[in-house]
Amino acid sequence: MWSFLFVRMLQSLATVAVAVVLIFVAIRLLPGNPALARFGQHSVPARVTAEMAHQGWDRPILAQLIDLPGELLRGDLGVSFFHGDQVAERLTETIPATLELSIAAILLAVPLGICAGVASALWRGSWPDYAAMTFALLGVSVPVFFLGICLMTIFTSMPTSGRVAPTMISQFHTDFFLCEAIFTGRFALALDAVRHLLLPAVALATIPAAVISRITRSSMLEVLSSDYLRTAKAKGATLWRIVWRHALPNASVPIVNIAGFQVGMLLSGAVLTETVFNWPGMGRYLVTAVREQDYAVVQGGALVIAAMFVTANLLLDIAYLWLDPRIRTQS
Amino acid sequence: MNRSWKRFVSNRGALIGGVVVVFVCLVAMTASLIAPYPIDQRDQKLTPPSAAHWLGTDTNEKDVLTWVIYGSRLSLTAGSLSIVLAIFLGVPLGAAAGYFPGAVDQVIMRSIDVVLAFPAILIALLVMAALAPGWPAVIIAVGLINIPIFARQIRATTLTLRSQDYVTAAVAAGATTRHIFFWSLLPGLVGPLVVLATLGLGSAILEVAGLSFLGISGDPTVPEWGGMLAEAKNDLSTSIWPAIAPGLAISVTILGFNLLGDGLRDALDPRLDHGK
Repeated sequence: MWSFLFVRMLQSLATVAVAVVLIFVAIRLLPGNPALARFGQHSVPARVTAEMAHQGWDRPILAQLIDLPGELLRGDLGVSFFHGDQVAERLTETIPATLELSIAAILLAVPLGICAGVASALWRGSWPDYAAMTFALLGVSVPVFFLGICLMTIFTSMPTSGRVAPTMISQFHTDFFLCEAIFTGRFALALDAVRHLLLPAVALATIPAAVISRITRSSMLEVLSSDYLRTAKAKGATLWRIVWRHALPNASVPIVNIAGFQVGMLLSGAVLTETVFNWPGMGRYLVTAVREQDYAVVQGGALVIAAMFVTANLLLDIAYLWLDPRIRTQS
Repeated sequence: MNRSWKRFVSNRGALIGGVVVVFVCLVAMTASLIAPYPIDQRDQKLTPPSAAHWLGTDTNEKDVLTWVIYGSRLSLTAGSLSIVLAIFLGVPLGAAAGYFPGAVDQVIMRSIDVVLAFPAILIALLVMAALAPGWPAVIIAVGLINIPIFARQIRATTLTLRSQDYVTAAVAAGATTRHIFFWSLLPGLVGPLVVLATLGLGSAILEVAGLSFLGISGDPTVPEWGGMLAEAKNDLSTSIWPAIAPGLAISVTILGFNLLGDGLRDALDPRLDHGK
């Protein structure tokens, strides 16, 4: 098992390394050069040259690539073309916002999706099944940005912009607003953070919840027809025990698989959700950078997202090992 | 084929999906005939729905219904072109990986794994940043993020088909690789490809609308559903109708493609139980 984990971690590191090189080289191979693309074809040549020198992008690509590991280890992701601030610093401020939003969405989506899928499988062909599957179909069809707009319109009493009320921001010492408020026992602040978080998290949770419910349903249907469950029923086990003790653990590998995949997908959804709700997270920062053609930020943000995505997949593999003894034995 | 058709028409969801897709396609094709106003006509700002403007007007004084009708053109066209791009590149890659196990398969699939190691939106944003925002960049970005989906599915189907007796017989009879691909494998790939393209088109339209909503697709003067929603979002406190119509248009269109795709999958795969 340990050798499997070691190999898997090496693979993850290799994937991140390939991603780093690809992003790095792709941005430098833009037609013209990034500063020219940023300032436009009719910009003053001296300005373009100065910006390229300022970024250190006027050196040969190979020389820049050799320096890259050192820069990354020092946490140096470059300077924003547009705003002149350190990319790494801005990312450190925005990542906690994205993480809090994504974790809240997972905490909503996983239980909701599993409960809907289990209910749907248990009462197959009756109204809970139809209701859950209609929810699942709508969940994968309604775009997250339209759902966000609908939620903002329906729940007008809820805050629809930012992470906390602007007057409260100064009371936080870290960028993990909700966690900090809870752990320091400042419940008024925590309540305000939850009120701000709720609508974006619901919007972001819908697609994963819908997908998880569909997979849970089909996985549970397969397990529910097994002989060992018929035996459990014959022995008089309660429905609760049959579902939660016997059926769900055996149906869990495909559910964890799709749930883990959806965690990765949350990063995509977060970009749109953050834009709808003016959530000051990494996704919105990256989109603004793309719009402004701020390549230093695009590069830094892309590296961090790729690293987060690969880490999520690695954690998913570890979850498999924990859940399924067969995978432990084989690996 | 006859049995598949019967399975398809007996599936209510698939029929509803088919009707929705045909309706949206007809609206897109006849937009200039059925739209109540010319595309560039301006009236009053943010008027509520009325007899003159069935779905009201937006912040730029445009008739919302007219723009939703014209918007179907770009959404469908951009979605379709990106899926064509994904098919054009993904199918040969997947078929080659499935038909030539070993080095070819390894190189193609490991490259695809690297692409899949990135969230789709990141790839799209990188392409948009590299190519400069605009509709061609949107189509390329959405096409690229769909290539791995097509390649993996086509590889899996090719692997299955390759082990069939009739393909083994063709190889034993000395048929050339090209002959085997076009006459033995391709007919078997058409069914899964149709299903994949239908479901893919729904998600491609969603991705196109998403990039447009983010404001990085380029020209805001061209009617497109995602862009309309982004514009309407700024006026939500005063008027909701400019957001409702394009949002519903995207949702219903994607729902239609999803229902149709699911129905086609059930119809073309007799092993699938309709209840599941």
